[in-house]
Amino acid sequence: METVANYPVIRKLGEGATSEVFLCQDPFRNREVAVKRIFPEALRDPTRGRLFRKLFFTEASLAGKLIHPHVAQIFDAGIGEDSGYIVMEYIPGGTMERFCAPENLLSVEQVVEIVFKCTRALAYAHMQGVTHRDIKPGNILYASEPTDVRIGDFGLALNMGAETTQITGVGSPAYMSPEQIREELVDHRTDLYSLGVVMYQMLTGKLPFSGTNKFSMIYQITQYDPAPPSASRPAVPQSLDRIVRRAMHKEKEKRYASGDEFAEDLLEARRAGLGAAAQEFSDADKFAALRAMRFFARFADPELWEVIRIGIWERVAAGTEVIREGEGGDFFCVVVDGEVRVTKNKKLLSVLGPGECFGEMAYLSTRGHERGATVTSAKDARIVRVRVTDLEQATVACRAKFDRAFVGILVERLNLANSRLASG
Amino acid sequence: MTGREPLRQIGKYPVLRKLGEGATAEVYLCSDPFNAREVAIKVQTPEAFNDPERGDAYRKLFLTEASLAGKLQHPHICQIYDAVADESLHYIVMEFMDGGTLERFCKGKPLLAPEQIVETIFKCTRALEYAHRLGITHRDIKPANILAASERDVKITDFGTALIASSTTTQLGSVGSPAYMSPEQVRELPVDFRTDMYSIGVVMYHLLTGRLPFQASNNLSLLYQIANADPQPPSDLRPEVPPALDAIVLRSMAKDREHRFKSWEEFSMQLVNAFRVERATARKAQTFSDSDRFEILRKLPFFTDFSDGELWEVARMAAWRNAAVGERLMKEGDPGEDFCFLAQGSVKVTKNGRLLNTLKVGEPFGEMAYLSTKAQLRGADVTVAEEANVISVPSQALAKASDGCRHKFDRAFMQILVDRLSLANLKLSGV
Repeated sequence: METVANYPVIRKLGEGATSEVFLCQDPFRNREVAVKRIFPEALRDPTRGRLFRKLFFTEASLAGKLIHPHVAQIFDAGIGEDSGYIVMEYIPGGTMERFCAPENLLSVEQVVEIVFKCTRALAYAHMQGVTHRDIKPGNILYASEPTDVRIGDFGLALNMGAETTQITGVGSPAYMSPEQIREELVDHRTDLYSLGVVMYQMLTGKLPFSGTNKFSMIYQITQYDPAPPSASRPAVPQSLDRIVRRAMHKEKEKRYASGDEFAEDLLEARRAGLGAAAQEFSDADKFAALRAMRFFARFADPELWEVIRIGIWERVAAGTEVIREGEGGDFFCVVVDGEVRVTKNKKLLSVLGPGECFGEMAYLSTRGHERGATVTSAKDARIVRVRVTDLEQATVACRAKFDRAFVGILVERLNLANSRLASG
Repeated sequence: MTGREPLRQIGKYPVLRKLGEGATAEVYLCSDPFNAREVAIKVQTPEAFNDPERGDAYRKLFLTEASLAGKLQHPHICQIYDAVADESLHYIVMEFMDGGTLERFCKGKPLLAPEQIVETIFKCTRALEYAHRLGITHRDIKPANILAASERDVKITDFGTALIASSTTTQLGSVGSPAYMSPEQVRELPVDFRTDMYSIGVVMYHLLTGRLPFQASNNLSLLYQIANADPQPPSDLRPEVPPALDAIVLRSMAKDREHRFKSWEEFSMQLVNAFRVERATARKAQTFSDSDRFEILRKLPFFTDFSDGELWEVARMAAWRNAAVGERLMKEGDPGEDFCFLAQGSVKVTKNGRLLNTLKVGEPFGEMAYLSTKAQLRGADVTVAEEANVISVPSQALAKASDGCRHKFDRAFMQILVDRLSLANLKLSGV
C-alpha cells in the first residue's frame, strides 16, 4: 500500500506545479484527510528551497491555529531534506473553478453568499495575523453544496512563492493584486483584491483582465480599470458593481480596510435587493441578524456559525402559538424580527421583540420542564428555534457562550425580582 | 533490536535523545515541530511485525489498540497523540513528562510516607476506573509504567500497548519480570479490570515496603508463588503501616479475583478512608491531601455533573483552609475576587447586622463576583458560625480553566439561579 507522510493513500486528488494532493486515511484518528506532498525538486532549489524550509513551520503552525467553519483546517505538516507535506481537512465537493465557467454560473445571490462567507473567514484569519496571498477559485472549496465553502491552502501561499513561479512559471497572475505584481510588500488587503477578482469571475464567467499573454495581463492589472460586471451580466445590480470595483481598487488604501467592511457592504447590497426574488434566510442574513443581537455579543464568529447551523429558522404568521402553557418543551427560541406575546391564563405577561429569547427554561432547568406560559406571535415574526439536544452536540466553546449569556439574563432577572421584593 | 544504530529521525519527529530501552521497545525524546512541543516516542520492535503472514494483522492490531488508548484523556494518564505503523517502524507518540517513574521510590531508602503512597495509588485507581469505563484494561501495571515527576504528579503510561507486546511473545518466555502479574495472567486465563487491581496492589506493596511481595530466585518459582503463596502483610516489613493499609493491599492482591474489590470505586473509597479515623482523633490544623479534596468535591451536589478530570482541575485551582468561629470571610463593599463553598461547618450572611441567611455544607457564596459580567462588590458580610473548612475558587483561575470545566460551573450556577428566581417570583406573586 502506498503512503504519503505515513498516511495510507486512498487515491490521488490532483496535481499542481510544485505539489500533488492525495486523499488519505488517518488510521489513528479514523478520518479521511487530504495530504499535499511537495515535490522534492521544489525543495532542492538552492535559494528558495532553503528559505521555504525555514518559513515552513512558522507558516504552517500559524495557519494550523485557524479554526473556523469556512477555513479548511490544517492538522499537521512536516518537512525534511527533500520531502514536505501538509495534512488538511478533506473537503469532498470541489472548487469554485467549476462555477467560473460561463455555462455554469451560480445565481447572483449564491455568489454574494459565497463571497460573504469568504470575507468573514478572511477577516478572522487577518485578525490572527495570517494573510492568504493566493486567493483564487481553485483555493475556495465546497463540501456538499456550492455555498458550503472553505478557504483552503492558508499560509501555504508561500507554498513555493506565488510571486515568481506564477508569473514566469506555470500559474496565472490573474488573481494577483497590483502590489503583488510589482513585488511590493503585501498586507491583508491583497487578499481582498483577489477575492474581488474571484467575485468578478463568478458573476460574469470572465476574468476582469484577459490579456492574450501574461505580460499583457500584468500590464492591465497595474494600469487598467476593468469593465463593471453588469456589462457582461445585466442581472448584476449596481451595488455589486460598486463592491467589486472597491475591492479591486489599484491602490490598497482605497480598497476595503478589512474583510468586515467588505462583508458589511455585501449585506447592505442584499438588503437593497439583488433583483430576482430574494431567497429567505440566506446564511449571510442569518449571520447579520445574530451578529446584531446583544444576546450573541460575546460569541466569536465560529460559534455564531455554529448557531446558524444548529438553529431552525422559521417565519411564524401572526397568531401562531409557538409554545403552549403546560406542555413539555425541548427547545428555546430567539426572536429575529417581529413581536411575540407571552401569556399565562390568557393574561398578558410581556411582549418580546428582536434579540429576546423565550422558552429558555427548557435549557436552563436541568430537571424536567413544563412550559409556564404560552407564547404567540403578535405579528408576522421570524424566530430561531434551538433544540436542547442539538445544542448538546455543539462544541463546548459554543455551549459555554450560551451559558454565559443565559447566566447574564438570569442574574438581571434575579436582581430585578430582588429589588421589587425589597421595595415591596 | 540488538546492535541497531540509534535513530536520528522517527517519521516527522527529529530525535533529541534516547530516554530508555526495554525488551521490545525503545523510547526517544523527540520534538514535534508542528505543535511546538516535546514528545516521547516509543518505538516497538516485536519480531511479529516482520512476519510475512501475520505482519499486517499485527500492524492493524497495533493501530487499533493505540487509537483506542488515544481516546483516554485524564490528568493522571499519559496522553497518546499519534501512532504510526509503516513498513520499517512502528511507534507511538506520547506526552513527555520529565522526571522518571515510580521505580525510584521502590528502591528502599528512603521510602515514601504511607500517606503519600495512598495519595499516589488513589490517583492511579481513579485513572484506571476512568479507563475501565471506556472499556480499556491496562494489563501491564508496574512502577516502570507509572510516571512520577514528583510524588504528587503521577501519570499511568503504556495503555493498550501491553497487549501488542504480549500478543507477540508471551510474557512468560520473554525477558520482563512477571513480578506484577496477577495469578490469572500467570495461568494465562482471560483477564478483566481486576488484573490491573492486583497489579496496582503489588505496586502499593512495593512502595510501602521497598520489596516485592514474593521473593524468588527464579521466574518459575516466582510464578508458583504468585499462583499459590500468601504474601506477608506489609506491616511485617514496615511496622508503621497501619492495619487499614495492610487490609487494602491484601484485598487487592487476593488470588481469587472475586475476593478483590468489586469496583475501582470501592478501592479508592477504602484508600480515602484509610487515614480518616486517625486524622479525626488527631484533630490538628488540618491539611487537605489531594484525595481529600477530590472526595470532598465529589460529594457536593454542586459538582455532581463534573467529570473526574474536571474535578481534579477544581481541586487544584481552589484554595482550601480552616476558619474559626467568628472569622469574617467576606466584607460588604469589598471587591469580590473569588467565590466559596463550605466543606464543613456553617456561615452567616448578614447585611447591616441583619441576618439574611445561614449557609451549610455545599452551598456556594460570593458567586456574584463570578456571575456578574461587571466588576462586583460584595453585597453582604459572611461570618463563620460553626468552625468551617472553606474551599475558595478565584474567578481569575476559573477564567483560565478548560472550557469543559467552566461549562460545568455555569450549568450548576444556572440551576441555582433558576431556583432562586422561582422562589423570588413565588414571593412576589404572594404579595
